[in-house]
Amino acid sequence: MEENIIEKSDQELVRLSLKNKEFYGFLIQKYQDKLKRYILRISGGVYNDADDILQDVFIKVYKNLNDYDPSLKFSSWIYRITHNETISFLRKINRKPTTYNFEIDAVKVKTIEEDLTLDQKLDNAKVKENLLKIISNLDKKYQDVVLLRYSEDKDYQEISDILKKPQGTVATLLRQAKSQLKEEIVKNKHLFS
Amino acid sequence: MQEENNKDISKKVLDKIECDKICPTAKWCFVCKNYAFWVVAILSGLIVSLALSLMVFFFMDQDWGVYQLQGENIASHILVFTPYLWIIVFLLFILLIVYSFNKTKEGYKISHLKSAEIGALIIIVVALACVFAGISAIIDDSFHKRLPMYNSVIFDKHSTWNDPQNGLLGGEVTGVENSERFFLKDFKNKNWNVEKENLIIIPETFILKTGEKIKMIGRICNPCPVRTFIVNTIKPW
Repeated sequence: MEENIIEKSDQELVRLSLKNKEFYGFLIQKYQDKLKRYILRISGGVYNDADDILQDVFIKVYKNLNDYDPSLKFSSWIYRITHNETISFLRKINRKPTTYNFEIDAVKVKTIEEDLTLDQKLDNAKVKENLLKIISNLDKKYQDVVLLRYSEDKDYQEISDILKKPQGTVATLLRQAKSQLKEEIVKNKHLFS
Repeated sequence: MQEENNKDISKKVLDKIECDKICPTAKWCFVCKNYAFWVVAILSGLIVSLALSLMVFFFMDQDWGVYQLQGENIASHILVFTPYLWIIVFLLFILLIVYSFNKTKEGYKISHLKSAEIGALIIIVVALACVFAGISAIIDDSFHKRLPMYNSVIFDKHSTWNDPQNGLLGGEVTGVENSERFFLKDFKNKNWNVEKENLIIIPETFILKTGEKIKMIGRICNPCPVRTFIVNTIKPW
């Protein structure tokens, strides 16, 4: 059964989970690593609570399976719930992450290079580290979209669905973030050569 | 180790679902919830349109030429008749529209600017339709008649025209005796003989007849044996 299930789309797994909750286990397995990483990134690293948040996310997703709109990607929908649950959790414990927890290996440097149309390559570890410092200093509103674009590898439509912001707003935020990033990279050229 | 941990979370969640007998909420609940937000947004839109139509109605229905007769200046006149209640209703329900629209499943997909433009256009069109169809006048009138509180928060035009001492009198024509004289019952149910003097009727096409509600500028006849008003300007109510 497991081999057949792996080939099934998220939509099919949702449909099957509604009939038999055992199928929901496959959805959990498919998303738990990605979502846990995402929780750790947006919470600034609540390592002790990440599993609890993740468990709450999956319970909430299960309760709301009938609310899933197949016109969205399932991953966008589950990321949205994860984002909201994590923010609620942080609010509950009176903690506000000032910066997100970007990891060097998770940042899609290639996408940044392409999006920013940079002359120089951002491929060595030291350069990446400097890039992360710049990203971490961006405004929080930019970090949301930058993280989804360059760490989670989401496109504009997915970011719009996850953050429940119009696509135009997402595009504007990303454009402004990219322009700030580019400005900082150009200003600190010596750190990126 | 990682795989074990994965299975562990999956098992934990499934066990909790089993143990707490958690079931997915029925689809109709979500459909109803989404519709409810749309209904609230649309109803709030209607209320905002009505509030706007009443504000427009107040400005259009104001007798801009008579405040001087009552010894007021334009600023104090505006302060008195500004419909604060409707302005507050307007602003509160705008917030409710924004809130409920954002809560709908589809709301976030439309840009803020576009939704604001479309919303504003619909609200303005409905508001103007209400003004020109007379709906705002009917609402204002019925609120004045039925809600005593309303009179204390919204300026009542009747009070302006219940001021014969300052030459302002309004009411319903109860009979026309001849071309020089007619009878009127004012808004405090007092009967008046009205005599014309260098009369101007605005608009000229207006025909004075029994049952018509009018407003007049003139003066109290003093001394006259019965309650008499000498009128020189008549306008339909």
